Formats: sequence, structure tokens, C-alpha cells
Amino acid sequence: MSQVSRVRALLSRPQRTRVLPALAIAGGLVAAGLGLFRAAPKPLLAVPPGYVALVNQKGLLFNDFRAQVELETTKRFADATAVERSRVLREMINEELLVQRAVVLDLPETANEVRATMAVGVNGQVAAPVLAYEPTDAELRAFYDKSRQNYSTPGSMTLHDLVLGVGGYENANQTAAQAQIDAAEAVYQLRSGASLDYVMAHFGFMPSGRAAAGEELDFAVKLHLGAQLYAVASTLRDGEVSDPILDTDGVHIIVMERHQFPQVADFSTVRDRVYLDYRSAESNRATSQNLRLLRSQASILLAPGQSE
Amino acid sequence: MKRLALMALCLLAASAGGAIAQERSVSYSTWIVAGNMVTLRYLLPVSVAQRLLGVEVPVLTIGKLEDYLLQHQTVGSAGGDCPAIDQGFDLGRVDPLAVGPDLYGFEIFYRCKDPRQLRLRNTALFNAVPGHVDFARVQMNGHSVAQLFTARHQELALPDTQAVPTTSLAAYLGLGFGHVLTSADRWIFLLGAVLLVRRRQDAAYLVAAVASGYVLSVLVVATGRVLPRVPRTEAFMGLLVALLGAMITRRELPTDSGPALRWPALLLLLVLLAALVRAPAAAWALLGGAALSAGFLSWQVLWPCLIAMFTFLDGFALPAVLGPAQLSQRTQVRMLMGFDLGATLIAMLLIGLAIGAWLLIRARRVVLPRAIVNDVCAATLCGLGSFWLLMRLQ
Repeated sequence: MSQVSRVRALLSRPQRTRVLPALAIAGGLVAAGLGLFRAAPKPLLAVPPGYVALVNQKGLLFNDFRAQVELETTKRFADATAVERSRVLREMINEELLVQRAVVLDLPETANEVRATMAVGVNGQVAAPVLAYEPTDAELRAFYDKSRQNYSTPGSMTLHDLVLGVGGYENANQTAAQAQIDAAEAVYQLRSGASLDYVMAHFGFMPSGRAAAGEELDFAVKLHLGAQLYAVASTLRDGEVSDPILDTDGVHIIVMERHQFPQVADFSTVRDRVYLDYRSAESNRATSQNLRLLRSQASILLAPGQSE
Repeated sequence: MKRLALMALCLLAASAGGAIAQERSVSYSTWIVAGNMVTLRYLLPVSVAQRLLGVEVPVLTIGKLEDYLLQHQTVGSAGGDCPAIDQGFDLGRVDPLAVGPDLYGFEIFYRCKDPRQLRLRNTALFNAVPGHVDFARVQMNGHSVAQLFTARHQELALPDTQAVPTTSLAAYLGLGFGHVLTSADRWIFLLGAVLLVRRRQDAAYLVAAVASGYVLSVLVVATGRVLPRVPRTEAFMGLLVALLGAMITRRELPTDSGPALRWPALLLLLVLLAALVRAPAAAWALLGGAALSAGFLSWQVLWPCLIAMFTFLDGFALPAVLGPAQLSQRTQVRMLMGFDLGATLIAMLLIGLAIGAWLLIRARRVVLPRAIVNDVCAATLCGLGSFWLLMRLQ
């Protein structure tokens, strides 16, 4: 019997009405089975390749194990003894158990130390791709040009701060106006070439005690003189004499012996510092960018009266 | 026309009756006894907690549950009640655990002055939901044993030296009993199936179909290869209820091929809808339902297979809720055997009662309007089944 006649016979059979329902039921069972059931997750009964152990079905990577062994024993992995390896593995399993327990206890929500560590970890992860990139010299130089003020050498001063007291027991009759007139005359004489000792003796000026005997760095001078006198001193060049400055204790005159102004360091001398600052700036940029993204995706509600 | 109006009325009434179908109330507890310390880990499904407390906000729910659990989960010993200890930091005596989005988890440590004659008491939820079941696991002396806390069994006494006895099969048998009796769709389907019995032989087929479905489910669960997709299986059981109604109608009207076409066509429409909302598994299930409907409605002699399919799916009711209990496969199969045996026995009892009542009526020579009774029952089954199908479909 040919194939065609067989099909014809099948179609003309009175039982053909049973074939279609049977097919429908079989197909229905298969389709319904697909929709109603899913494969049960199979528990891992053997450690898969690339892992050194399974702890509650969570794998410990062999690479991590190798790195930890080398870190703890300061030997190459191949040189570490079986005892050393076992000890490290035991420590890693203990750590994994503690981490799993921490997750169950929801420590990120309850322990401040864990929260801080996690925040640092996320920032580190975000910054990692940025830090992996090695900047070129051109990029470093551009960064240096933008932030030159950060790479200046500190300046220094050698100066004399003279004061003509006003209102003290030793100069009770001296008025501020009289003192300023005397100081102006003293400044005139100093600028004309009179010696410091002569002017001090003639007008009654005394060292204020605010300036050190020798050379002092800028920041120290500012600290000792105070903001008002330092503002004047910082503008004086070598050998210059300031105008009289009225302060709380009398009238001051600053005589600048030597003033070395701050100088911006050359790129080549501070390249290492520029490199570190560049990486730090890039890392900060990445973390703030990440925070901006997280904030844009977050739903943050503040209690009434609160602000951030 | 009158018949149609009556059927429509029944459909409406049936839909309202669908509200009887209640969600299962279960929880999970693990009791670990080590020396004078007893650690309790308690897991509660979010839906059960929200139904219990009526609070939608998780923070408030957790706060209320902590106080509730301290009152309802206690440990006693020869030295009196074992107090729950403060766990330090700002945790208090109940530590909330992170156990996934669908569960609330809590941990409580009890310290006993005298660790002899330990008694674990779990009275949580039984007052609010009498049918609540807590699947417990007790770890003691190096052994882990599955236990059940129910409204009738809220305390467990632990032996001092021997291993904790396992829960008897009768307890799971009782669970199976309760499951069928408290699930409207189950007993309605079983009673509806009685309408297909015309001969003594049919009754035997019905009983065999019920039993074989449950047995098959035990065998499948024992392989540990598949898990049911809940609540889709529940929706599919709704479909089978409606299909049963359609089969009864088809039997009453052997010349009318309408039900054999309309019902599968309606289901195919649902398949399209499910595909549109991108629920492939639901679409597969509905497609299967449509094909099965077409097959069964065209070849009615296979009606016992429909019954077996229903009880087969019902056999997964227990494994579907056992996941968080983390019981061994062996324990699960043992529990399921008791559960399914209980369900089978109660199903047979229901069928027996229905057939007995019908025989009694026949013996008394009471004449029933058979056609209208069948129509009303079939319409009710179709209405309820459709309601359950649509309400549970995801």
C-alpha cells in the first residue's frame, strides 16, 4: 500500500474522530506542563571547576584562594605547604560563613561599621575603572595648569615689626594722633636711609615681639603678626618700609629685610604629586557621578521640617 | 430561554461564591537547641503578616510582629520559662532577618536556667486563623526533625536525652483532610464529578482517578525534578472546574457540538491576551488548557483523566508551600504521602456521601428534575471555574 493510500485510509477511518482528541489531549498535557511546572533547582553536590569549595551552595573561587595563600604565606602558591593551604582555606570558609550570617542578620541596615565599609567598597568599585587608566603626560600637564596654585613652594620673610605704644603707663601722655605723626616722620627717615637703631632710639619705637629674629615661613609670619599686619607685610619687597599701621597696642612700622615670595613649582619637579592628585580628583569625580545617578533613580522622602 | 436565564443567574451566584476560596496561612520555624540556649528562627510570608496585622508598611509590620512573636513564641523548661535575651546593639530581644522579599524573618534566643524538660510553645496566628499551619524543624542532639504546629498542637515537649520523635503520619493525614474540606474549589470539583457517574463502573473509575492523581503527584515530587508554578496551578485547577461543567453540559446535549468549540475558543482568546501581556508560562498553560478542553469535550469517555489531572495538581498543594521550610526530599515525600492519603480519603468520603445521598433519593422514589439539576450544577461549575481561573491567573 502506498503512502498516500495509507493516509487516505487513516482519514476515512470512522475512528479518525478519536485521533484528533487524543492529539489535542497529548499536546494539551505537554503545553500545560510547560506552563504549570518549572525545573527544580538542582543542588550542587560537587565543587564545579574553578572553585575551591562550596559553602551553603555558594562557591569560593580558586583564584581568590590562590591569592589569599600567597598573601598570607608570602610564598608562591606552588611552594605553600598542604598545612598552610588547609589553614587558609579554613579561614576563607569561616569568613564566608560569617559573611552569609551577616547578610541574614541584615547588618548593612543595623551596624554602622558595616555601612561605612560598604560605602567605601562601592566608591572603590566605581573608581576602579577610572584608576585603572594611566593618564598621559599631556593630561597631567593640563591638570597641573588648571591647579598651579596647589604646587607653589612656600614663601618666607625676614622683617622687623616696630611699635610705638599708645596709652600705656610708660607713654600715658602719648595720644594716637601724636604717635601717628611721629611714626610718619620715622618712616620718612627710615626710607631716607636712617638706621633702624637711630629711629628706634629717637622716636621711642620698640620691637613688637611678634616677629621672629630670623627668617620665617609665610604661614608662621601670618600666625604671629595677625591678619592686619600680615596683609601689609606680604606686599613689601626687600628693604621696603611700610606706612604706619594703627593696631590695638599702638602704631606699627614693618621693615622688610628680605622677602622671598611663593613660587609655583615646575611640572617636572612635582609630577608625582600631580599624578596622585589627578587620580584622586578622577576618583572623586566618579564617585560623585555615581551618587548623582543613584539619587536620580532613588525615591527620597524627607520628614516635614528636614532638609539636606 | 428560561434555562438560559437560570444559568446566567447561577453564573452570578457562583462568582460571588468564589470568595470562599481562601489563601493558605502558613509559617515556618526552626528551633535549635544547644545546651541551655534555644534559638528560634521564624519565617512568615508577607501576605499572611499583612492580612494578620492589616498594615501595608513593612517597618510598622516588623515592629508589630516582633512584639506579637515575643508573646506567642515561648520556651519553657524544668527551671520555669526561658526568657528571650537581649541581643545587644539596639536590636532588643527580636532580631529581624533578611530572608527575601516575600518573607519576614525573625530570630529569638532563649536562655534556660535548667535545660531539662524543654517545652516549645508556638501560639502565633492560631487564634486569628484556626487553619494556620506552622512547618517547624527542631534541631537537637545532632538530629533535625520536622514537626507541625497547628491550632490543636501548639506545644512540643522535647525529650532530655533521646532524639526528638518525628511527627506522625496522622498529623499530615489531618492536613490533607483539612486542605480538601477548606478549599471550596476542591470539594466543589469532586461533588461535580459525581454528576458524570452514570453506572456502578463509573463510580469505580472516579475513585481510581482521584487516587491515581494523588499517587502520581507523590511520584513526581519524589523525583525532585519539578516544582509547581503557584498560583498558576491554582488558576489551572479553576480551568479544570469549568471544563468539568462544560463536559456535563456536553453530555446532556450530545448532538450540540457548541461546548466543544466555544470553550476552547474562549481559552484561545485568553492565550492571546496572556501573550499580549508577555506572560509566556501563563500562555502555555492556557494553550494546554484549550487543547485539553477540545480533546476531553470531543472524547468524553476520558473524563476520569480529567479527574486524575485535577487531583494530580492538588497533590502539589503541600510541596508548593514547603520551600522556605528547607526540608529534605525524604521528609517532604513522607509528609506528602500522609497529606495526599488524607486528601484521597476525604475525597472518597465526599464522593461516597454524594453517591449515597443520590441512591437514598432514588430508593425513596423521589423524582428530581434531572435536566435542570444538571444544568444548574454545570453552570455553577463553569461560573466558579472561570472566576477562579481569571482571579488566579498571573
